[in-house]
Amino acid sequence: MATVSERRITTQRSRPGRALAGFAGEAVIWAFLIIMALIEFAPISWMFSTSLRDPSRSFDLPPDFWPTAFNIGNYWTVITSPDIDFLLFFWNSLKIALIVTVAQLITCSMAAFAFARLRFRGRDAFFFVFLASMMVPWTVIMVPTFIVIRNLGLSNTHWALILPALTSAFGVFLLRQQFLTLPAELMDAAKIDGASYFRIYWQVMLPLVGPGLSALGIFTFLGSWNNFLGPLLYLRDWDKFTFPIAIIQLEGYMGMGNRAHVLAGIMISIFPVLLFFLFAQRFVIQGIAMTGLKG
Amino acid sequence: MQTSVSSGMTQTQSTKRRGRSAGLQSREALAGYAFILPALLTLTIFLILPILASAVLIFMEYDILSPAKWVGLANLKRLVSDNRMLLIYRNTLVFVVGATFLNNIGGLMLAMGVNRAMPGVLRYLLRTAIFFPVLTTTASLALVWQFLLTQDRGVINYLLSQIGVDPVPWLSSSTWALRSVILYDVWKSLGFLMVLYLAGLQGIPESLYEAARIDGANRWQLTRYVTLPLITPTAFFAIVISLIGAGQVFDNAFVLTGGGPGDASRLIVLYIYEVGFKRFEMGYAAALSLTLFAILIALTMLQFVMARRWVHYE
Amino acid sequence: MSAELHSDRGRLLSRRDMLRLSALTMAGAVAAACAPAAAPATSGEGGEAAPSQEKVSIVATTSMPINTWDNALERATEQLPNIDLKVTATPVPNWSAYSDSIVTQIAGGEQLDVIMIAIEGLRLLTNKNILVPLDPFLEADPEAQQLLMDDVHVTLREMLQVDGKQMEYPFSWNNMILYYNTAIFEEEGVDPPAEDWTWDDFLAVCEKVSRVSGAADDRYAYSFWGANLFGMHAWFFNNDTSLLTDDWVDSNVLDPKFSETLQFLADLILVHKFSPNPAGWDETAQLHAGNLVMRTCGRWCFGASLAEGFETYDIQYQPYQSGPYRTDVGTDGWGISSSAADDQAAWEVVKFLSNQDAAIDMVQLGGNVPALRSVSEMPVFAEYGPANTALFYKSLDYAKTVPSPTNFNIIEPVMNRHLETIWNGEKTVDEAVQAMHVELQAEMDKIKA
Repeated sequence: MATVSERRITTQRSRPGRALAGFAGEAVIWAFLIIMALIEFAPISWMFSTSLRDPSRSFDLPPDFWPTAFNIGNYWTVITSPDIDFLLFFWNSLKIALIVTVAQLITCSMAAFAFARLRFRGRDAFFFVFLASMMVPWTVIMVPTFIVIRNLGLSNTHWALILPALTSAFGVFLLRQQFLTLPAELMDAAKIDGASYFRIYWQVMLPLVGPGLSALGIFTFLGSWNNFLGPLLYLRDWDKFTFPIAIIQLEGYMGMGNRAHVLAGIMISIFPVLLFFLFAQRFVIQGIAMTGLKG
Repeated sequence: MQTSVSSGMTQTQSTKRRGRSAGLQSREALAGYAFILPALLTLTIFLILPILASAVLIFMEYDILSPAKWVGLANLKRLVSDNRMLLIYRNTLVFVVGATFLNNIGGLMLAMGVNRAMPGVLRYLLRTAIFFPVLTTTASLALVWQFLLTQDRGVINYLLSQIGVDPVPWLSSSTWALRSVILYDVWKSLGFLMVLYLAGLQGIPESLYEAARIDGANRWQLTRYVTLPLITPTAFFAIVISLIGAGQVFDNAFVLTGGGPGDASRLIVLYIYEVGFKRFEMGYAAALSLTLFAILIALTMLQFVMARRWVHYE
Repeated sequence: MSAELHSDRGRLLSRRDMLRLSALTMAGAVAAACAPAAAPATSGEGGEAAPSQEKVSIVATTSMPINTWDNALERATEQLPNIDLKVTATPVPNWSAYSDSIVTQIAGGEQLDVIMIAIEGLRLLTNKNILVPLDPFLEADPEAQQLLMDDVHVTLREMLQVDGKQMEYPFSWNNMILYYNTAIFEEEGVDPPAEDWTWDDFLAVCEKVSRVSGAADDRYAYSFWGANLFGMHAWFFNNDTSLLTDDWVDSNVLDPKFSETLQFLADLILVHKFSPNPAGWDETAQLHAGNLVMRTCGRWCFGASLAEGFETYDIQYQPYQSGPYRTDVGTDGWGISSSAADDQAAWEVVKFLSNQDAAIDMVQLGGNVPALRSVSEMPVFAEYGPANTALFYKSLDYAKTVPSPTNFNIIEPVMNRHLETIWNGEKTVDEAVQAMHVELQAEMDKIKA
């Protein structure tokens, strides 16, 4: 800290210069933030504005990044399309995503707690197995997994998407890192109070990794909601389809579908997630701010 | 590996626990096994079993319909003479390094930018806009980007032409196709990384900043001596996740460029998928996967070893 | 899961209602006929007619949009009382991906009794023993045999034979023809192309209708897929050349005419700027928006124009350079899976899904050309199609089958990869063709063994 105190003297001497530099710095940061936000959002607003245009005007130049027409016909066509039952697909997607998310929050946090805070023979070896399995490209196991699912008689059921996703090595890793950042004293104090391991996990430790849990929950939900390959591989029946497959239906026979309809379909499919996020965002990020570390 | 994995444990913990009685230890061990059981069981059935099966596949010729045939080392020998694989690994390396670098630098910068005093509404808008792409399906949005990046009459090239830039062959040129795939990945994942880093930033106790401020630290010094060291556990996690994720990216190239032109933007997983599910050469696909697996494992171990030099746990 | 299936019943009904509604608005007399047909099916859902014998469950899988079969499924409850018919669709963009998906499904233990496949994937499925020959069924069923001989063009019928055995019963087919925007032709004072127009005539037309300067109102004269055997052979065959030798066993790309064709097409993009680079370019939308004047496609492209009310277009042969052919042709059909639970029931379904009614349903949705000539002679076929619709059947006599060897799904990506390096100007036609030849010949040699 010696260097810091020295600096204080120098910086205090040149206050006007520092204010100017601070102002320039502020401006650069704000420009960066705003430009990035625009870049991130522009394609989506282009999609939204295009989905509201007459299909033959999909590729008009100059492009519009805000709605200039309100032709909700595209949405109407998609919703009433005989091929697409958006309510049913919504329910299918939601059901699978919810089950998978809740299951992962439980299984991952339990394992992560054990890996971070309990000592048992082979712990590091087990953890290494988890870690290594996280790095297995899904293509390696796509075929054998397919055969396992087939032998369990689960092809063409939602279980084929749910069961393999009941846990994730990613989640275990994420939460283990979170548990590790908690003060070790918490655990010891609880033990001295005579709490069982389950109580320590459930009542003491779990509430403190809320941010990690909500992050894992969100990403698990999104991962399941947006899963494209799984449904494509396993689901054959129209009435079991999920949203991403429904979008593909909109692309039509040999890709002949109408782009404005595809864009409208994508908008409809991200709308529930957007709604969820508009509420969950507060929860997640404020939850993170209230982390137990401070207490 | 053993030491590096447990390096997260603080020194005090290990010393304290060394004196425990055997009974307590076995109770703790039982609890440990019970806690990892559900995850372990799922992992065993749907991950480890299939992995073991793939390990056998390497020595087989298998088209998933006819019975598998033992071919010994033929698939491994074929790896050595596969010229396309080399180019595809080069692409993958460029993609992994490029995407990981841009995602993490960008994610951290955005998180630090957003994590500052500003009106709540503004923060909310910024966060929502930047996070929005994460909410969407990779395959669907790649389709949208394909429309935007079209060379002729494409939206982005039109915008560029307004500021005097010649049309860029985003998807059709060998140099640009891979860059487009990287840019799309960064666009899609930046919000994810921002949220991860934001969680890390907000986990840094305010008291540390206060203490530093009392010592007279300016903003740069706060960043340098408080934020950056304390964000390292998050960064470690984020980089490991990005590296592994980038190594396995599939949808991006699959939808955006189809791996083309030629092999210019083909990534290793796309190649494995094509060998396995287009050519139905499962054995060779497994052999290719093995190379990727080995590389990812090596990368991660390297990360863990290096982590001891730059990651600070409290 | 079973409870879920039952609860979906109501939804399926509403889907049918929706279909009936749209069918009614879409078509005139013919569509109206679908509505009464739907009524008994609806009542049948409520109180089953207490079938004395157990129903046989048959699963048919198709590449076409699932709603193509909605009317057929309703008719099935009446016409196939002993069969519980289910149609599954595999939503993929091309035949290679579709055949890959069939193989994967079979490997996954899916029950597939009746399989639709086109010539492009036929040999792969036959080679993997996924299909059984239909000849025994045809011999035992003189009526179906007669229909196949009398009402299906010989080219289409023989196309779905492998080693002299009929593997699929033809349902629909396509050939590649040129779509052009009649309004723009008129506006620019260009006469509609003649049947025997040549490459030079084509270039002259392109010159007149194109308008490319990098501005917002750019208009391209012509665009082509630049990929896929079916798309490319529309040009190769018009210059009497092909990717493969006529017996589909060797690479033919060193043929000077092959290079000549590619050079002609590359110049459209790189020299004349008549055509856009195909990567990411959406032909259908650009055609409808008037940003594109001509394209090459089969009848299935008509569906999108029908749905969007785009009417100022007509069709003509592809422009011609040399040789006896004017276009390429490919056929799909229904066949019986070697794992079918009940062959006879599967055969009934094959016939049922290939019949006139099914073909009419497809025609009205803007799908392919029906294999049954009788359907193409019905007013409904002319009604649903551009002015020159007769060209589809007429061209059959000048059409050659798209090369479809067993490794179709492997060589198509090989060709595509090398073509991309021509269209972006990074390789000369000669360099790309040499590289293509080496890789292609190696693949063809593999299946000779």
